[in-house]
Amino acid sequence: MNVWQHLVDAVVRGADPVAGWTDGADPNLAALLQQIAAPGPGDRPEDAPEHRPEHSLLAAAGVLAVYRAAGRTLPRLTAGAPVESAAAPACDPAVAALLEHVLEHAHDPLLPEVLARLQAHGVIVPARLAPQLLARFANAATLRTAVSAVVGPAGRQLAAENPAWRALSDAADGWDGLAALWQTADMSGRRHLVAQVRGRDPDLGRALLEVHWRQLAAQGREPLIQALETGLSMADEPFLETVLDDRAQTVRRKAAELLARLPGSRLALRMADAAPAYLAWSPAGDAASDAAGDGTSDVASDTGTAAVPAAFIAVRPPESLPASLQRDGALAYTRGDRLRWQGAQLSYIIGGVPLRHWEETWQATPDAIVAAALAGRWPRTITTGLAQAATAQHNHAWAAAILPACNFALHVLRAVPVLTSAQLDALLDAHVPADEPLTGDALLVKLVRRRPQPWSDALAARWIHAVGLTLDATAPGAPLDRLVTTALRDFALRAPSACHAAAVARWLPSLHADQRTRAAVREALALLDLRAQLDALLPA
Amino acid sequence: MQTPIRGTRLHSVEPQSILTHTEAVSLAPSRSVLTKATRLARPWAWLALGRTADAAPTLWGRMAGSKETVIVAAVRLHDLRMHCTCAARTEPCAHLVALLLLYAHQPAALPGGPAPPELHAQRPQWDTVPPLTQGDPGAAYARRRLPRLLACMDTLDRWLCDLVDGGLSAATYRPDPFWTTMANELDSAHAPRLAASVRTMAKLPGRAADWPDQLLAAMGRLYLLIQALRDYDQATPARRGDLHAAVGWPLLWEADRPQRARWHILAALPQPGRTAHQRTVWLAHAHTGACYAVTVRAGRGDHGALLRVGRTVDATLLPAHGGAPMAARLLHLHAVDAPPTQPPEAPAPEAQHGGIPHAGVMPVADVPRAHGRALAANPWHDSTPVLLRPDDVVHHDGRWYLRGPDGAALLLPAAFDHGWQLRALLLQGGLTLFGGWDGDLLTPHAVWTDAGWTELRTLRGVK
Repeated sequence: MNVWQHLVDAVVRGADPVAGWTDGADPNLAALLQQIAAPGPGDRPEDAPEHRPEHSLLAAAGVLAVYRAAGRTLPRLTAGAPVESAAAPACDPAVAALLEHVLEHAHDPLLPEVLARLQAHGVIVPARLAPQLLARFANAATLRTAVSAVVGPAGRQLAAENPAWRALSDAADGWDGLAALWQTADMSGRRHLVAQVRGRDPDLGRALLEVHWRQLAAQGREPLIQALETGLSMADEPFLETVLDDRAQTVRRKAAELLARLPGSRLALRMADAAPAYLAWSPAGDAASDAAGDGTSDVASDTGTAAVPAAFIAVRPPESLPASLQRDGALAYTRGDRLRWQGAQLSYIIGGVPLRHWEETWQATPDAIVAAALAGRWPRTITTGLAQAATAQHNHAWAAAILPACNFALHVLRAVPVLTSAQLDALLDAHVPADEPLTGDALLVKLVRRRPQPWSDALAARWIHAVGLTLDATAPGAPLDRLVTTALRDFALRAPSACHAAAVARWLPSLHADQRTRAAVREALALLDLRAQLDALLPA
Repeated sequence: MQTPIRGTRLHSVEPQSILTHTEAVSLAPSRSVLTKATRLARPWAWLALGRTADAAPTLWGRMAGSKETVIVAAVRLHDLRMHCTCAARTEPCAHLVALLLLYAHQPAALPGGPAPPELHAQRPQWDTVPPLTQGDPGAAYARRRLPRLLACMDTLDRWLCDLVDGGLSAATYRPDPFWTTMANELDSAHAPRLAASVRTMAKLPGRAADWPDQLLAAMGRLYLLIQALRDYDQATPARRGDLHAAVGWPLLWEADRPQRARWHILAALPQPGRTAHQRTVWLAHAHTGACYAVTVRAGRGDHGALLRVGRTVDATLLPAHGGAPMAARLLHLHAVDAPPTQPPEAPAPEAQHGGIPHAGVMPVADVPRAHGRALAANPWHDSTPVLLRPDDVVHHDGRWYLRGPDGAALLLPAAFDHGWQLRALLLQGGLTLFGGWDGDLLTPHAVWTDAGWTELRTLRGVK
């Protein structure tokens, strides 16, 4: 026991230290402690109001506390792997400040664009921001590759050292590392891992899934099969075809939806083979062909198609689904509104048929086929299926045919993202009045809200003009429709940033609406301004 | 003639109209103010924003407050004089920090124009400079307060003796009033730091396995302080300076030893407790690396707001008396220079600050030695400022350490959540760090990054 421990032991017990407690101490320290224990006449005891034995203990404690603090030594840690500093090229301070601003101000919708630009320009972010990026995007599968690139070698080494970030390290590049990550990840982590690898190497991602497929529980298989959506191609078809024999219906259905996106898949061919049993082309004037149908309809009132001389599509709704179609994901309903589930089954089957099959079989253009569908007794069912097919197969021509023909009804709006910019601009020219203020029901609002792609200059100009008109027409203090203010954010994120000045000049003088609207407009302009800064610093 | 030592004079300081994100963030007195300011730093959060187009550009903004009131915030750019009509007690408030953040990122959001009417009343107040006072306010303070303090020291003496007499094992059963009554009495005797020590001691019993060691060490050092205060009249100026710092009294300045030099500004730390609007600005001598702490009022009051982290200033400091002086007063601010482009190097041996330990970049293994030398000069010294360039940042048994080449390691605080940032900086080219070593823990305050000196509190922590 050393001197300090003797003293602590005594004070804890409320007793005097044992005799000879200073033995073993440094001679100078021992002399000082002895002097404190027996103060001489010159040692100032008279200064104290009363000298008590505790004073000696307190003075000794003070001296020893300072002595110990002044002589403290540091613990030794065994040396780990040598640290290899990876000096990165200096990131432009303006770029770093912009990224910091976007991160701090939670402009999350901007981050994918910012990260993509940084990656495209080969910029490595400053070290002080790397941990924040790694922590924030460790679970964002679609952004992992970009984050892993922009944090640089140092950031990836950091990711390798933190189990929560390991998927962003170099370990995710090789098979062994992926296998190790798979073993330690939870279900959500595995889905992110497959999606991440698919983004870089679709075959490797599918192989990772195939190897572990049989060990997975049913509830884990569905989200994992969804991850194949990234980088989907005909190379995935054999595996997805085997998944159609899965015990879980949700898994089969998801696999079938993916296969329906591949017009060359065996499922698509089976759907094309099955479809003639339910649909038939009736040429113009062939009213008798309607006898091929059973006289039912998916519309509330008979549209009087028997009197229409144009071509139409006759429908024989499925009475019972064959097992092969159920294997392909069609749901065999047994309860509820019979017409409703027959329509759903028919839409599903049409959605899986390659669109070129209809053109080749019926020798008709998409416009003619859509017109025939609308002329028949099941217009909504057929156009829903065709819109599904156009979306899944990313067919621009069919999307452009279906949308205006169906008057941009809600059940076909899913095809809007498939349109090319030119097609969208042409549709807007033809169907949207130039000088009409916007409401939530306005066609322009409906279309732009479903458009995830970058906007064209013409679309941005049209939007600026329409919003300007709407602000002009809004009474002071009155609100704008909530759907319009929501679409302002879409505009800010997708319109060309060069239109910022035009938007500021057109909107701000007319900005007399209520506070929520003013805030939405200013937020949109600020986001667009940030994108303009990004364009100036890191051009696309 | 004595040197005037209250009030700071600003000489030929160039207008500082450019503000970086890091500088704006470092003006926030706390993380909570910064979080709120970040939320407000969007153009759409304000009713109106602008910048006066005159010789002294001033940023201003109007924001809707509660009960249909309107908050007006304004910042004069060249000297960062600030004013806000909100009721927040922090200085600067979130509105002012938001205005600065907005200006740093989106200056176009603050268009130039005439000054709003609310500014006309405020500007003359900004131009009022605190009067210069003669003499030494610390000494006068001591003359007024010493008799009361000595009487309180007798009470503290008896209180410590009672604690020893009852045995430390009984400390765990002492009721709260045993501690709080003594602390309140010390507060009444204008000894705030001693009161804080007693409140800290109250939390020790039972907290850790070695709590008797910690409590006895604190009691012993308090007792030494009592003895030294009884000798106040016979003490040297340096010892008196140490006593003032230990008690929490106004410091004693070395009026005849002003030091003019170029100083790098390393950190500006908000002071906890009732003086939340005050900040401790740490400056390092550009050549010797000697560190001094200057206390400034943020936002308004003096030119302390110009001491922005990362900048280099040409300034005259008045060091405090003391065995290991760490504090100084900003006497003259001559110029604000461009920020340094490189982290500081280790100083030459002859440049060491007279043997004072807090000079220049030092190896990890030397940190306890430096702290020991400071303790030898001032037994009540609590934290030694250090500039470090560690070889490694290690995560070991749930704690972060800074390790030197020989394996010696400095332990970082338990709730430290910037360990990954330090490691990232180390991996991306090396880590230079400024912090305070209290004998047990190293508390990092600032690091050298691509943006120059950056306070850790301005970086978002990562667990």
